[in-house]
Amino acid sequence: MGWDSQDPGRLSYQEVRESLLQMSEVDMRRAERIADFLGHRLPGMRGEDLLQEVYTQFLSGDRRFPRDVPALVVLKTAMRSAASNVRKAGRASPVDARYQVETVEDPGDRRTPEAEVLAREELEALLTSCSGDPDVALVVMAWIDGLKGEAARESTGLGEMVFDAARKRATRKLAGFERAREGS
Amino acid sequence: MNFKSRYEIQLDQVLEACFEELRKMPDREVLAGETPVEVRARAEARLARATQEAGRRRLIAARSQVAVPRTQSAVVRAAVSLLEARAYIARIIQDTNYTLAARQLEEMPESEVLRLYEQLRELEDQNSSPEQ
Repeated sequence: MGWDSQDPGRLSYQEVRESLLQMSEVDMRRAERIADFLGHRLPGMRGEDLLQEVYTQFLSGDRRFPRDVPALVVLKTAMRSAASNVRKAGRASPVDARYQVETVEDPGDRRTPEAEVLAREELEALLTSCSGDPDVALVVMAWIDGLKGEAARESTGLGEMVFDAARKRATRKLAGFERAREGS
Repeated sequence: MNFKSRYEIQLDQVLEACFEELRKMPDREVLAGETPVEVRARAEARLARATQEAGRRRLIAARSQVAVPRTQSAVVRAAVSLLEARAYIARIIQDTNYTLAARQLEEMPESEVLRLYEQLRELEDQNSSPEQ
């Protein structure tokens, strides 16, 4: 992509630097937590590596930093995309060619067996990591289904206080609060 | 158009839920015992490393650009006169297998002459490039 793009909706090099530096320390830490969530199962890469990679891509101009979007949101979206790319590139063995992508009616669907298998494996790993805490596993399953708030709580069948406690434990689990911070 | 599988969408949904929880989490809990100074120092070190690496990547990209665009010297050639362009085309027609009657060249609009001139020069550049 580079920096010669005439795109008024994207930050310049200097603006990217300023935007990253002007984040609050708490948002910087939140970005590290998201990096940990996305990165700790990646092959040969830590969350910190993932975060630094997206910083690098923004500064090299290879990745667009949109204007008027909070830096934390931009970082989260970029890390999700970069993690997906790393996962695909780092896969040790090819996906079974016999694997069938679920049938869909949309003719424009461009899903690949590889992307689908990787996502399924990732979900399985997520649930396995929560298997020691049944309430947390219920919360994560509700999130997997896209449920939020009261709908999520109802789907788990947990009482309000138990659900709130499990929700907080789930966040801490997924965002690596229980793991030692990976070196920087 | 749907570009994501059900599993990919579900993964995104977990990420979004976790992200929202983190945004709502009180600052003290997010920092979990660390001081803001420590976190900022880490972010600044990350930015410094990323700046260095981004510079290295841009340099590599710039070098590869320099190696390629002999054909882009068209910008320099743009100043060629119509007379020179016609003369060049006539010589190429004579020297090679291109088929174009002299009369056609005479009657060709100026813009077409210059366009053909650029195409022929680009072909010549490509054929004389050491990488070919």
